[in-house]
Amino acid sequence: MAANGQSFYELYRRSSIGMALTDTLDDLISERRIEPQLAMKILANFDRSITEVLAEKVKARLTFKGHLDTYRFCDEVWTFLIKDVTFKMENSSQTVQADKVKIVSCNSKRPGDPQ
Amino acid sequence: MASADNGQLPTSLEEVEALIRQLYSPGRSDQVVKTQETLQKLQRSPEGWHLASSLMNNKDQQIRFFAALTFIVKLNTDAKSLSEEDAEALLQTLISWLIQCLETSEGALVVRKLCSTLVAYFMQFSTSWEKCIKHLMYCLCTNETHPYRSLVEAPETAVLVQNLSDVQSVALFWVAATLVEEVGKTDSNSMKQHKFHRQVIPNVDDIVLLMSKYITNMHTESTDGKVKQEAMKCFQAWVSYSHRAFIDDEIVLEPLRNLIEPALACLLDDDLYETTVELFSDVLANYSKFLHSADFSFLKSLFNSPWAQERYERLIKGDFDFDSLQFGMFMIAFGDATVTDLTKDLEKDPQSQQFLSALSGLLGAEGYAIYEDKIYVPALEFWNTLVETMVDDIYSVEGEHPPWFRAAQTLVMQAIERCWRKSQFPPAEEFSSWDSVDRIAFKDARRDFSDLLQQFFLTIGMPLFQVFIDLIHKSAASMNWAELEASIYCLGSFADTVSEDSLRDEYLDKVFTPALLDLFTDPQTEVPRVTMQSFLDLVIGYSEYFKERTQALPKVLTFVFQATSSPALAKKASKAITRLCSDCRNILLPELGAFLQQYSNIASNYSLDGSVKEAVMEGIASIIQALENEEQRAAPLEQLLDFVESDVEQCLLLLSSIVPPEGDQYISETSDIDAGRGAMALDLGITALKCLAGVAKGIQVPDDGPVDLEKKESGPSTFWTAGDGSRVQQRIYSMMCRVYDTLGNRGEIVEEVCDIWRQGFREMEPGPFVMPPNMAAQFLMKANFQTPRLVRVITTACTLISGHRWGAELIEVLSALLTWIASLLHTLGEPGNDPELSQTGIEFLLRLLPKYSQVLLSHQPPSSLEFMFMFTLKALAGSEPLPKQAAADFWATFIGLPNQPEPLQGSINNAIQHLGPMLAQALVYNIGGHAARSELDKLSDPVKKLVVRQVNAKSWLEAALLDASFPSDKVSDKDKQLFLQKIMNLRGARGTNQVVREFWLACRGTNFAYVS
Repeated sequence: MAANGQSFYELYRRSSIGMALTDTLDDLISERRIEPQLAMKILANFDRSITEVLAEKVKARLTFKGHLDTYRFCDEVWTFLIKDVTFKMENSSQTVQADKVKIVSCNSKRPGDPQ
Repeated sequence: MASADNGQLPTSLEEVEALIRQLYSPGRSDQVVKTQETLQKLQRSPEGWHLASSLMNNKDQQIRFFAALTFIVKLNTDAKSLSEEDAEALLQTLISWLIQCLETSEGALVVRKLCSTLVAYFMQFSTSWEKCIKHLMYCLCTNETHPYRSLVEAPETAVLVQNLSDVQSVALFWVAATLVEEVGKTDSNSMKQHKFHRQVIPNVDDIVLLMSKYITNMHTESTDGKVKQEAMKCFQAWVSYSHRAFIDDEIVLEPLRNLIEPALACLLDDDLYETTVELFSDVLANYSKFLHSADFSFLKSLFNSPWAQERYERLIKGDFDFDSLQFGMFMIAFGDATVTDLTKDLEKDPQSQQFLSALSGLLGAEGYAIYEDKIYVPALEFWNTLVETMVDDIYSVEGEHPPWFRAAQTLVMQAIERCWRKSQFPPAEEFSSWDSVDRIAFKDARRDFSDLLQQFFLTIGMPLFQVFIDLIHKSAASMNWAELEASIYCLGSFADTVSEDSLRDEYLDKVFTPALLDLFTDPQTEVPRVTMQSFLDLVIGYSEYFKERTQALPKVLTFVFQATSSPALAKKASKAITRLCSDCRNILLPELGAFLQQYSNIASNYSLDGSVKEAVMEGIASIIQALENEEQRAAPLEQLLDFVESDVEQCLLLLSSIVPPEGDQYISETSDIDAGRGAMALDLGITALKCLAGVAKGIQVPDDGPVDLEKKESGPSTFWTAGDGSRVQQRIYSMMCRVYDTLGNRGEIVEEVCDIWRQGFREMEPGPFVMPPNMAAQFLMKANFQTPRLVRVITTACTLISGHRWGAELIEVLSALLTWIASLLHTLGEPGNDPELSQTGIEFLLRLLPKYSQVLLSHQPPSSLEFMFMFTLKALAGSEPLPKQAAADFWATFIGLPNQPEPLQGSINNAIQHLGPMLAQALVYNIGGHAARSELDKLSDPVKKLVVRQVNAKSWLEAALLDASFPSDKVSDKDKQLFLQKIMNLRGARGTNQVVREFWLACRGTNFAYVS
């Protein structure tokens, strides 16, 4: 039921896997193997599946430390800009450094869902 | 007869029917594909409407199904070709067919498809068929097809509903459920355009009346249970849809809410239980606003009723059948939806207290988590949510804990105790009999529990830490290994959380006691492997503790070194050694000799994994690094290298005993006789290189060390490159060469060698692995087109460019490396021949640009330089995504280079003037539709740079847009001019990306506008 009633963020379409899917759908449309309507539905399914899979299946975790430069909370979206960040991966002694990291986090429940 | 084989379309209805039968019969997949293609052509053809009408009365069910499907295809693709009269006639035809189907007891397959056809009709003609449900009721009731305009003459819906038969009602439920499911799938843009929600609203009252007939208790006795189930499923679809309508347009389908109460009562009906419990679990999880507060009260009391008690008991006693589990999920969904209220009412509401205790009880159901107990993980997730709620409210009342906090803490502690029990491993033989998915899921569940512990720690602090210390002592005393393991695991969860707590070490003193360490090192005691592993994890997690509390260090080191002799523990033990040595390097300095001795014991164990030796070497090297000066470090380092060299010698000895086939410069392992020795030699080679990489990592200066501001700068030391230390460097280089020269045809060896070089490149201070760049280049340039993992070698060369240590002397080295890269690209020929190599080759050129553009521009001969530029342009215009992205980066950087001194700037200008038109053509070719959508942002970068930096950009781009090679005929010259004008006016601003995207879309056509 959730699949029909609940709507999902489209933000993962900008991830590499989402972009690869969109490119593939474009190719299929170019080759007239599918119609855009089907592509649309596939993307809607992708929005749901990627959200669910990331929430349920991904167990890997990392910790990071850095200097919080800016943060804001606007329209239910938190944004953090962190500088000089060190990431520590689970099960790995290696760390990854980044000068700047931007974290955009949305509520896992869309507006209208129970909080 | 026409057949799918020759691609001809059938010419008679009989032929079509034969093809349809062929499609639905078992057969070869390629035949099915061809048949399907032929039939799809027919469906899409203008004759599709006629075809569907001709087939709908066929005696074969499959053909009638295909007829309905053809109507759907035509409606979805060709509805615009129908006039108003045609559309009305089509509706009449479809309804007549439905009436006929119901009269003749047509099978569900066709009726369901026909219902979907009616929905497809609604999606196309919703404005002229607004009250579709009532119209259908009217027609079905009278068994006659009425025009839609005559609906005004129809009786009230309530009257119609009473006169509908069960079969007719079921068909209506199918239509109504499919209707909202299809509308619910509409994407937001299309929804705004067609306002489907507004078209659905007029039907709500009608369908609610029909559902009510079957859902309310009044009708329960006399009706077939299946019809009631269909009614409930329809209600489920509408409730689900109402959520979407609420999100999109804030539409509340109020009449549906009148059915909540009777629907809740259906939970007690065994026939309706499964559908109803699923419905309300989903509503609670996704759209709890749909429920009234009275519904929540009803549910709360329901969970405390004997009916619920009986189901709850069944569940926690180990009945994990579908319906039993569904009940548990229902409880959890209710808990999730009301978690805030439940916790806040804890003190004053016994029902809340009772319900939360029951949810805690779910964590203690019988059986092992995952393997048997299926409710544990969802229940644990609930408790994680509850603890997160507590963390949010931690100081919500004037900086104090809220009044309900203490009661909630008590409940969570009970839940933790149950989770601790559930986290205990089953006996080893039982655990290994589970399938791998269950084993992984069990460990994942333990990690979910550790998340809960970390969160709860924020609300309660060190007392929680103490709980597990007590449990460790209790279980160690009774030698209950499963309990001890779980307690150690739980304590380990806090490693990051308590790292800055001033009391941490005092608490840990009670953990790393001599008694406990003796238990793990006592040869008479057989501690299970998982318990040993968890204890090693504990040592790794709290390795910093031993820096402050040195008294426990010797025993811990004895334990970890002992553990390296066990294959199952060696990896973790070596990791612990690395961490302890690294964290306690200064304390362990006096023990360096003993460590080297310990290593010699380990080194003699040839069965040991290379990564274990690498980790121990890394640890010992980090102690060597703590020695005060470079001179002191050289001797112990040489001792470590002796161990490595012994592996190298052994490797070469084995290889020398193998006779290479003629003409092969490397030793081949293909000979059967020598295969064993070859594999062993390879292992030794890899181990030796891994050990070198380990030493390289360990000897690196820690980046968090103190900086002496008073220290006088005396320039970088030359001890390792020109002084006494150079011997060490030469030894390292020689070992790398000897292994690489004999086993360089193996990818693993290439990887390991590159890893060693990288360790040196990243080092900030002079050291034994920080070799002069010409040595590195000399080594890397040994790789040729046949070298496996050549890409890795090139990326290692890229890392060398980024090093800032060598200054001017690097230029000569980079020139040589560039010549090497050029020869590789020459051999490659076209970028598409090996996309990965092309990408890394271009990335090397890109890395040169910011600081060493003179190296690139002065490359000789000029024809080779021209070849490389053309190579990047070919990559840009090609179809391979990775080289294309690298080429786009290269050109964006090249065009955007800041002004350089003459004559370098002159060379750059010449190159750009010469190549600019070609670059513009490659970019426009992509933007004109050739590029994939995901590449557009990357391709916009060079466009922006061109516009900003090059005066001729406009004419170059204009020529490219009007060139015959432009890939699209969907845009006019005017559109192209407009596009050009827009990007020129934007002057490289971020909006260029959007303009590029829009132009690409225009060139590709409207079919590609399906995603925003």
